[in-house]
Amino acid sequence: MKNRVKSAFLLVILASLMLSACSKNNDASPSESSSGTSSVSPSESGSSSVAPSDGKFDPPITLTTVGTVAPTVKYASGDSVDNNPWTREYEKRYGIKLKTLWTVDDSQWETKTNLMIGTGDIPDFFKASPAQFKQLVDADLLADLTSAFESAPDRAAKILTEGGNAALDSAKFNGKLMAIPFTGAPKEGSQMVWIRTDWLQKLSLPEPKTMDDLLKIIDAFTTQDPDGNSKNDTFGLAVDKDFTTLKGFFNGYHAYYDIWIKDAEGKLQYSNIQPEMKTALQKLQELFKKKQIDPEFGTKDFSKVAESIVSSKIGVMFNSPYAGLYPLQSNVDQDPKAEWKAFPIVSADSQPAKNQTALGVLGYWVVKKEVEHPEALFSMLDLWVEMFYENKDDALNKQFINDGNTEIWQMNKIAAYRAFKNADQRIKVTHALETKDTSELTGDDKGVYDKISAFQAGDRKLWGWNAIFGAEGSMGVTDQYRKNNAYVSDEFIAAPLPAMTERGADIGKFMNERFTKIIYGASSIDEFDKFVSDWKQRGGDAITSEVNDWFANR
Amino acid sequence: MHTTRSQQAFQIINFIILGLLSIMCILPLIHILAVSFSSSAAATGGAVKLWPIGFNWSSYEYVISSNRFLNSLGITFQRVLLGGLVNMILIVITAYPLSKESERFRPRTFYAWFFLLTILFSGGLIPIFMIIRETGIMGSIWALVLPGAVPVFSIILMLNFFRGLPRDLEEAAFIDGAGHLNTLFRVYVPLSLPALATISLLTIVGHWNAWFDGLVFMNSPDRYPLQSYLQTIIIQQDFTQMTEQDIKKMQLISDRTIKSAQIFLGSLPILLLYPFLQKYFVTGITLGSVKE
Repeated sequence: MKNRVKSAFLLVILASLMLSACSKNNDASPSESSSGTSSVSPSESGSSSVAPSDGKFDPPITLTTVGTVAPTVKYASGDSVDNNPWTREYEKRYGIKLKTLWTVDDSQWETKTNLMIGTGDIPDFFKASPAQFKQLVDADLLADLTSAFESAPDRAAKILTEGGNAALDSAKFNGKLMAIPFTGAPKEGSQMVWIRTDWLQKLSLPEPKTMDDLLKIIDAFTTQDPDGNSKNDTFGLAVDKDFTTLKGFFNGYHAYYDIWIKDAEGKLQYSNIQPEMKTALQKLQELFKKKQIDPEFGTKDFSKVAESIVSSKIGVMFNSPYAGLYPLQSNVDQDPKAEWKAFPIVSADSQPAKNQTALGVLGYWVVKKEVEHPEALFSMLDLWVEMFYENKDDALNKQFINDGNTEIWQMNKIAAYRAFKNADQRIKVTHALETKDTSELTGDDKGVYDKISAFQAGDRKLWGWNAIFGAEGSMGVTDQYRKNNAYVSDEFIAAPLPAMTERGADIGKFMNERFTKIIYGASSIDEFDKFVSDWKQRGGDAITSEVNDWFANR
Repeated sequence: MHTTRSQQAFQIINFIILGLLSIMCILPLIHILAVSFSSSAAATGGAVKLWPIGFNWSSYEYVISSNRFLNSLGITFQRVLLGGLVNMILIVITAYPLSKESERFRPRTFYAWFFLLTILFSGGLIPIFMIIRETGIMGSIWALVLPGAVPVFSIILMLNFFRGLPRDLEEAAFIDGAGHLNTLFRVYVPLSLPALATISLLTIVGHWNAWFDGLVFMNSPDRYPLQSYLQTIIIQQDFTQMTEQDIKKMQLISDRTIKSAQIFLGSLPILLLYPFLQKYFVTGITLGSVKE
């Protein structure tokens, strides 16, 4: 008995010790982070170094970071993540040494960085997600980059604003620039309508100019046996359960999927509850009733829909201009007759259709507060722009971009994408194909040029490159969009707000269910009005007012 | 023996239900195998069901020639051997004293609770991560072996098995002058082979299938054990937010036949091991549960 009491007592003490040790650790970790990492991040050792006018640190500084590894990258023998063409150039040119604490596969980036932030041990710089970025700002762990940006090299500064100011604005808190946005190409990725042109020819249909034309095509692809197997086994329009292939369709009815738009009074409104959405859904309901949409779409994600496309069951798909590579290339591999072409989205009325675009920032390059020389990041970014976008020297190209063996450009430590790189690339490449003069091409351009040349010589494995970058390619459509500035941008460009985080997932699921039901015809189109009021009640109103508060105060 | 009608009916229903269950278990495996032998185009088109279309070996040739698969397979073997060994030693030497009564081993109750508590409560991911980091084993094979070095559930199995052994044997050993160590390794362990086989199967399967710790504790994808590596190649792409880079990557790694070949090869060793250890499985566990 005595024994038992004693051991129970011991246990309690032990447990409390363990618990207190835990909580102490957790509390202390963020403030300890600087001392904790000092052993691994000798950035302080560079504190005495100054950046002379030519931008080289002497003695060299060391920055710690963490990174992803693309499965396609192979290092030359002796090279490693911290010793490769890019890092050697960073050191040679700017006196910046890099130390990568860990690398992880792309798919696990979020988990691993969350864990890292959770333990309070962040490296000198890394790529954070929007939500992480906001957390780090709130915890006051990040360096203010405002002055570093002002003195940044022109090239590096320009790339961040090329697609408009939204990306840079989204990285500002109280007017201070707290991160370098990893700009993507949201406008370039705007959807277009891909159509099986071999089917079009077979049924002698014209190319679509209006939504009516397109609906006729969809109808014909369903009912007139475009694949000629005398079976009624084809569908007109590709639809997936997350509606990723419907944005272009919605946009044709001036409805926008899941973005925030300005109303007449200058307030932000959620696009999915606008009356235009009702019209578009009604149309989809009709298409479904006429069996022009796969009756099982509600259970198929995009990769499943891609299977139907690859096996030549669907002839019309709204998607990004890049779809030529995936999944359409697989269809072309599989079906020797298959031909696709991208057309601009079409409007249901006399108003031209506009494409919805999101902010499209792929992440935020954040710098730890204690770092002495945050401007080093802009120097590194400058090298990226120079080598990836501007270099025309073949030798440098082999050294930094692609040696034919592996994608060396992926070894960079900081990058940002140009807003219309591929659209510009198509113009240059098609011009070079006409004139046979490749002197104006950069390394990346040359790669595309070679692929299209090989396609023209008969290699159908490279069909997708021609479908995107060729004279008739999808990037031509993108170019048209750009010229007409046919975009409606998502006006909400911040990390998710509290009510959004709390309700967003639930509300999104509920919305998806209601929309799917309407398309299935399980509920009549008038259910849409009920959906709108339900949406408001279930937290939509709270989110709307939150978003408008943010909009008024930004 | 005479069986009644209802018993027969019961047997038949049993066969049907169990048969269906086992078909449900084996069909996905056959499907994966069929896809791995099919031509890439047929697999991407979703045409392959249970029989390969366009039979070829190319995806296996590719997997064998790619470094990453073999590399991670090597790490998994290393982990299973090292982890299995550490686990088994610790299980045996922990279960032995705990199988004694409190009168003979005073702090037994304390230790029993000490171990039991770890089944009920865990520090959670972040504290474990910090411990791994502070002890400096992050990124080494030990980060995969040491955190799970003392599997309490297996210790309980072992301990119950030890208790089931006649005490007279132990007393006889003591009279012959054996100490605890001798008794344990010369008497208890040789008598416990069924239990040891069962537990080593559990341990090996556990180490073989673990993937999350590999992702979290390894500092670079080159050091991932097999299941972590497989997890990274089969994870679903988020199609709502695809960028140009993602699509280029998709085109490179979307090859289902190669994924299937890797999944199949990844489960092959354990499939081969199972039939040999499985026969101990039932006896091993039930023997341990019978107490004096």
